[in-house]
Amino acid sequence: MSEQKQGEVATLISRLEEEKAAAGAEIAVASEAILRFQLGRETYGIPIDQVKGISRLRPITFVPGTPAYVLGVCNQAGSVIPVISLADLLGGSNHETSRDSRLITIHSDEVSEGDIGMLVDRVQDVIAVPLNIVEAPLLTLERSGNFLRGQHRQPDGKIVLLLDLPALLRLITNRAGG
Amino acid sequence: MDTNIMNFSLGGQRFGLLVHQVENIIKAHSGLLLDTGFRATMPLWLAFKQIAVLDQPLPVVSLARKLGLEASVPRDGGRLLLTHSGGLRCALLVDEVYGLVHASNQQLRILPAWLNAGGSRTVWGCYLAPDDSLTILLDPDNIFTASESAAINHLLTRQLEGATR
Repeated sequence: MSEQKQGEVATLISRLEEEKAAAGAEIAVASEAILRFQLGRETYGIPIDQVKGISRLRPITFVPGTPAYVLGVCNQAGSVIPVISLADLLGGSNHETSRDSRLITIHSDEVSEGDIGMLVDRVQDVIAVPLNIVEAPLLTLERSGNFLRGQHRQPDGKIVLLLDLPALLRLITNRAGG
Repeated sequence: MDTNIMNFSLGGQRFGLLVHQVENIIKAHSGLLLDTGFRATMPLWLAFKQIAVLDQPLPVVSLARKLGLEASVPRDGGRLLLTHSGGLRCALLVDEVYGLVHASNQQLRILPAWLNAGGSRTVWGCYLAPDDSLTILLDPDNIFTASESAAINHLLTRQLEGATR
């Protein structure tokens, strides 16, 4: 093989290796499975691995002496779980429910005693959110504390507000317990 | 082992007290409403009554009002559950008494402490009935705050002093 040919092959190999490395880097970018749900006009997201279940709305029993955003407790297949109005907690006051309303059951050993049900307007789907394109939340969106860990701009330009679930649970339990 | 619960209604919802916490149940109208002279300064949920079967005035608490529920007017005036709260003997006015329920440990659930605003433990758990309905279990000892107990005690003392004069 002539020196020129050898040089061309070396360049080709080098380019292929660069492309392979670039592709590898793309694959290595971690993504997170996020459950998207609707609250009023906003779309929120929480990691699906922190979701224990999604169910239709069940009868909620009022518990006196609780903060306004605690709607009561409900019987979830023999487990009695507190139900939180996420809309109320995040700054709205919409307690209205519809056929699309759902109860998202979450669990966190770190900050709560057992499961908590969160009432949302509608559950959408699960999407993969690459962690490298999670933006910092706009300050104007932080209505009642540091409960957002970021926002994800989807290809269609719509924003998914990513909730900081542990922070949210801490907020719930600390506020309520005084 | 079963836990015995005295089941009653308030504003259309079921509540319960442990049966050993209820000293007696009497008809609400079987008492003379006393004028303490402090009506304007007393909370809406509190009144003082001279109950016929008892020998001293008793603080009567509208439990619905105290718990922030919509106070309804029971058909027959309701029932008074005689109990003790924060060292005070008092009567809790409820809409209707359904009676005793024997709850097994599997039917009782302790509710998380954080549910109670301000750290009080008025509600401690619930009873899961065979029909899947929930009865909220109250602790009468935690119905009043310390300052409320002190205020009621003070009014009761004044009432007793007035009666002996």
